[in-house]
Amino acid sequence: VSVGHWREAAPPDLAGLFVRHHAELVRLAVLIVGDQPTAEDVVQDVFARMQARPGKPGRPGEELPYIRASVLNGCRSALRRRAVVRRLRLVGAESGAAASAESEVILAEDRRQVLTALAALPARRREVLVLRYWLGLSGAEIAATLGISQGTVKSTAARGLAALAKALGEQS
Amino acid sequence: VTTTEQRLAGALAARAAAVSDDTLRPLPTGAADGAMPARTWRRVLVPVAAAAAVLAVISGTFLAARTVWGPAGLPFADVASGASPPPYYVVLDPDGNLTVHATATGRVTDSLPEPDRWGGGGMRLLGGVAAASNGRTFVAVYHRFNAPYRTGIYRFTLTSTGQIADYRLVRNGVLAGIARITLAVSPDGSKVAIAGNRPETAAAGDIPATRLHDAQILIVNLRTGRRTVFAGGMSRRGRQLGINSVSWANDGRSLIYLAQWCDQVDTGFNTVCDGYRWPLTQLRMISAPPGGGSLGGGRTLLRDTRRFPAILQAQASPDGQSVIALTQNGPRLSLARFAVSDGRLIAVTYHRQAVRDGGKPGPLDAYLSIDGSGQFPVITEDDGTVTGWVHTGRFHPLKLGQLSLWDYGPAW
Repeated sequence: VSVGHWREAAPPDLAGLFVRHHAELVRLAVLIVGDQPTAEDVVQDVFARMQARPGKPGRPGEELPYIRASVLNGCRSALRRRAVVRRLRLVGAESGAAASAESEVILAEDRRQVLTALAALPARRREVLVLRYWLGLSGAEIAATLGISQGTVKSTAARGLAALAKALGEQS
Repeated sequence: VTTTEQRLAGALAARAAAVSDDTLRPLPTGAADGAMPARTWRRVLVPVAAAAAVLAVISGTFLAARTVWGPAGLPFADVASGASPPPYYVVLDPDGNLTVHATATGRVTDSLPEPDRWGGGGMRLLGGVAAASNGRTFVAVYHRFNAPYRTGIYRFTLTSTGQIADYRLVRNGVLAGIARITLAVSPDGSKVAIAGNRPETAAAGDIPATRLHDAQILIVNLRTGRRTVFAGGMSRRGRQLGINSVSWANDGRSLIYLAQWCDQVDTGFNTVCDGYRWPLTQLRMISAPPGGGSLGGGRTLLRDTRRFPAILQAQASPDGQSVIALTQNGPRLSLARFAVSDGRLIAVTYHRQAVRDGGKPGPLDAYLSIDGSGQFPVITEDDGTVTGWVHTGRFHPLKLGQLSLWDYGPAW
């Protein structure tokens, strides 16, 4: 990945963050919004905003949680835009929710069912489950990323799993 | 680790692995020069312009109302003017924070964490906040399922600058053994009605009770702490009764509640019915004498119909003549007004596709709250990612910032 386009004034760690975490952040966004082009737009917007405002985040070591939180915020906005488009019956204009042909082949039927059920969850529950079961973040890390308490992370995850189990016809 | 967790982790890993590093695009050159891509500006400008227009209209109506009627007198009442909605709305978020927002800007004017002294502990469940139609009395209910399920009832008022005042635990205001609550404050602010289900089995650790008894309604006098129970009379073989919304008639002597019979009432969350089968629904009106009584008395105002096959929520209008119902027909949400006298449809005041973009086939988790005039109903969907008031057929989003809601909408 080329980072030669970063202007000289940008904080040097931003370029490093981009190199180290860009792919992971896009994958995170894909798991929330469902498609790669939208996910890449979201991540790109986050880095562009950080470059325009180099003062954020305030303290060293907080960059990654801050960027993750920004990506999740961007995903929420993208999903809202998509919902508006659907209401206007312009689904064809932004049909990002559909999995790509490549992923159709790669993902087994069971996994597609799980992802479909996950996509039907409210945004906060979906975010907590992705952060926990894909990124493997602890309750404290998820709480810091989403700006909620650890207790809420725990109960949101429990509610999300319960809803998922119901949707998948499991008894859990 | 349960099967669900394993399947979820596997599916997430597989989907993420399908995103190959080689397919990722680098940051575009335009961003390197400090200029955001045009696509981004278009996305930003359009919603900003729309938000500015809505803000200008709301601010204008506030200014006009304040100019014509002058500053609010004391005690302050958070009520609509007829042309504009109440100046403040209050939300209780899943962290137990009570937050007041200015309607015109969404700015937080006050915030209060959940108090420890009511003896909470355990995992948070559905809590809620409701307002009396006099616009003066608010009630916040905190809910947790330590054993047994515990519920703390607090009352408070708002000042004219949007500060929480006179906040205190209601006398006799800690309840035990009631799950899945919904609440309503009487028009004069003297009583709160709390509907819920008693657990049939005990909660253990992070696992809620596995079965609940049929729903009941408990009325708590906010001054004396006296409790009155309305229960029984609504059993159906093979089904469990849940109550999805409750409200007071404008005389303060009758209750209007939405009864739903499910295969099994959801034990932890306010989706009412466990699973995806549609419940049977009735909107009923009962008198609420001081001695309590049966839920089966009174009369039925509404049933599911072909045009309105699922009534999700219903609130008595302060006009005393009508009820406002949030209904679902497939993916479509409607707000409709029905006559109390005979249940006839008066008007459909708003309708649109539900926001939920997933494919859940059953009833939507959507909530309705109304203001003291009944002219500015609030719809909350998708854990509060979409919350807003409806007036003259248009939806006006309310700002919650980073907050989400679970099973309850804002109160005003």
